[in-house]
Amino acid sequence: MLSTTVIAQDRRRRALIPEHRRDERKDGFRSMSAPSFAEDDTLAEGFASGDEAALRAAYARWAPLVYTLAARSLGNRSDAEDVTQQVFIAAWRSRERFDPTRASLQSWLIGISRHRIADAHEARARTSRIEARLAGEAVIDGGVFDEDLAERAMVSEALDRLDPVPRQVMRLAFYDRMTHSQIADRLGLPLGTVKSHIRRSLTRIRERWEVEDAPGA
Amino acid sequence: MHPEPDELAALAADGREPDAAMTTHLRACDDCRFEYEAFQAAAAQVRASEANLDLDLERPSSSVWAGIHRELSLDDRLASDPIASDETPRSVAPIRAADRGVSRRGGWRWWPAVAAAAVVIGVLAGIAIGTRLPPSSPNESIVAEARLDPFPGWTAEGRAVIQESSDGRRTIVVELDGDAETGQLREVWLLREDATGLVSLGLLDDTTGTFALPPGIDLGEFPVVDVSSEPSDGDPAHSGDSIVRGQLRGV
Repeated sequence: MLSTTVIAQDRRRRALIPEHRRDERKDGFRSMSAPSFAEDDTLAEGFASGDEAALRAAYARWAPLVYTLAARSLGNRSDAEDVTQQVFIAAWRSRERFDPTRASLQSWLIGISRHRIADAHEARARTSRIEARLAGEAVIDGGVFDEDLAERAMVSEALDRLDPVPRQVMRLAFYDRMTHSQIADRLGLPLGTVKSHIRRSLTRIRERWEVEDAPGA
Repeated sequence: MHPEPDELAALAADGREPDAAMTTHLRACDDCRFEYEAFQAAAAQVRASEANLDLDLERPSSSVWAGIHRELSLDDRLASDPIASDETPRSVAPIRAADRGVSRRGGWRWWPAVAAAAVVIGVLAGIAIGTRLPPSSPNESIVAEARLDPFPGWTAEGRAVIQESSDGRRTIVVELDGDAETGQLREVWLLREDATGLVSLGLLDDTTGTFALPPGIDLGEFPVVDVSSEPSDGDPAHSGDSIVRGQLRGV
């Protein structure tokens, strides 16, 4: 009855994450196994300029995200691994079109993933249509792109890239659910400054979202 | 007079209802309302990002990097799998099948459903019910319960209640009576209604067990409590052999 199932947040998987990795949450928004954003920028520039070590680092950082997006949409490990391979190969071969000043490497890779996953569905539908015509059946290939997961990745990245003080303000407001006055007390900031940090940070997320929403690679 | 953008953002971040004066203004002023709604959408995305993404991600096998390395003729020194060298073990959990035939709504538009569920839970909080289960402590209230009915072949039955403490932490208490022998592994899960997704909560040792709910889990999305019989084979996936199951309802 549950032959194909999702583990959304398996507690035992949580237990598999080493203690020090879990603790990263306490310091900020780190949700990907990521270096700091300064290193991210270096990584993106290295990638754009053809540094093979940067490709390897980008794979270490984003292959799980690309693979999970593909696996969830295609429902098949082997197809998802094919797509993951294609995404990184395509990203590398078209790196001259990647502009680190316009988009993050993560959002660029997500954009390529979206296209490659759609191509995989299309190829699959073509095959099934031929088979179905032979069998006289209708075909539905309904796999969808996991927008929620892609968005969480992009929002986490945007939060990670905030400066330390606004990042701390956002964490206290949203994750620790402190009131703005409590945050002001805790950080020794005027209440108005706390609210300004929140406005600027939310604006960054909005703008980021609008950029990500634009047609990608 | 228009509210300061900082105030609109702070209000959206708070998640509280605007006061009467602000509500009146937002109703009358398109510019401020659009601004406020955009802040609300961004705030919802930040809240949704709280669950640790790493825990939801699967890892591709080493053959994927090997294929990339070969195809692009990369430097030999870069040949080892970049992920395998990471200390985190590869997840053994099953991947999710495609959501066939379901057109997923894009963007953050699912957020109102979460918010609505939160409101329902909030409204229901504080109403206690008579129960054989351990009474909730003074700062805990029961927000939902489920009657657990047996699957064919089982004569067990049970109940589950969700408690919420004043600081928002939620626990589920599961009680099982009947022929589910002790000695076998029994695992407690939350399921999507159509069983396309599930979350493991832990093993039920005794006839009663208490489990913390992972923060951020939406009971609107996972409204079904399931207790399964599990072979001790090390496979973390659901065995497919459910003992009892029931739908959570607000009390």
